[in-house]
Amino acid sequence: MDKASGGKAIIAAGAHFKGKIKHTHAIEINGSVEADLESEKVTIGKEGNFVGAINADLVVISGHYDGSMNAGSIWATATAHISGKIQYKTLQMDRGAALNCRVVHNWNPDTPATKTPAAKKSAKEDTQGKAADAANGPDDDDKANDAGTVNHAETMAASTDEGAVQSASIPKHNDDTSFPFTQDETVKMMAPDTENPPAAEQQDKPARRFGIFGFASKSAG
Amino acid sequence: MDDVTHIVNGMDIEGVLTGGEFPVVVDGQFSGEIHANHVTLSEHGLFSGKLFAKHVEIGGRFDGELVCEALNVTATGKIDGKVKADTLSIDLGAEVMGSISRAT
Repeated sequence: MDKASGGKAIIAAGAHFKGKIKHTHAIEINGSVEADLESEKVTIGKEGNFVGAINADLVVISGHYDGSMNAGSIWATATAHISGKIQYKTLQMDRGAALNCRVVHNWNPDTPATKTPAAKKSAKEDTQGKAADAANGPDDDDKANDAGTVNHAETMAASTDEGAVQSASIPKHNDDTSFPFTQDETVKMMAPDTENPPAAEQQDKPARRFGIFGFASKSAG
Repeated sequence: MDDVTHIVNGMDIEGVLTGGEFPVVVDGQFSGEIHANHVTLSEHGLFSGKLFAKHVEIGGRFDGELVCEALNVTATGKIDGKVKADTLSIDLGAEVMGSISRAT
């Protein structure tokens, strides 16, 4: 049973098939098929109608498809009608193709699963590193952390009296990685009285922010 | 060539196939049911199930029930099961086991 000698399987126009199709190298469907299909290459012809799951490397659709498709590459030609769900790595659509379906890129669930923990871990390490760095100045790379510090500075700037009290407590928490968040919490609780700072004061913020952190880093050192 | 339903060698198919007006060629493995006008089970073909057709040519291995008008079993054909055919020809070398009767 070698696949090479097989060539391309065909379901002719007018034929109807219902069931399972497996171990196919290439299949062309011009008739109507209700099936679960595993194949390297699948072609659904203009008159073809396929209902069911497809698992394939390459799918060329010129006819009607309804179902859940996992494919490396999908080419929907001008006469294609697709409903259901398609998951793909590369997708090509000709002008006129009708997609009425859920479209998901990178369908392989293994890829994100293996990637995500590593990505998260490195991101976390970055945040931790930069939380400490933030004391020395702004860091453009880590937006979330940066935003946290900006908010912190704003509220600090708004409440000058309390700011003095607060700034004294900052150095103690400077080495704590959760510092921006915990500090934010406390500041938010204290801030509401002195919200809405005037525009002039907003312009001053960066300077104040540096001042605060400059002080913080000095004390830390 | 596109007007033939072709189950190629190496393919594994399970289900019900209605061939329509075009011929069906089974070169792979088929289990289930085929309804068609003209069916050829070629040398590498493996069929198990029920087959209903007008003209049938068996060159591969057939297991199950076969109902047709005209049956030709070629030299490489092997049949095990129940055959109902109006006209029948079996080539020298073919292996046929089971019951044979007329369809009508």
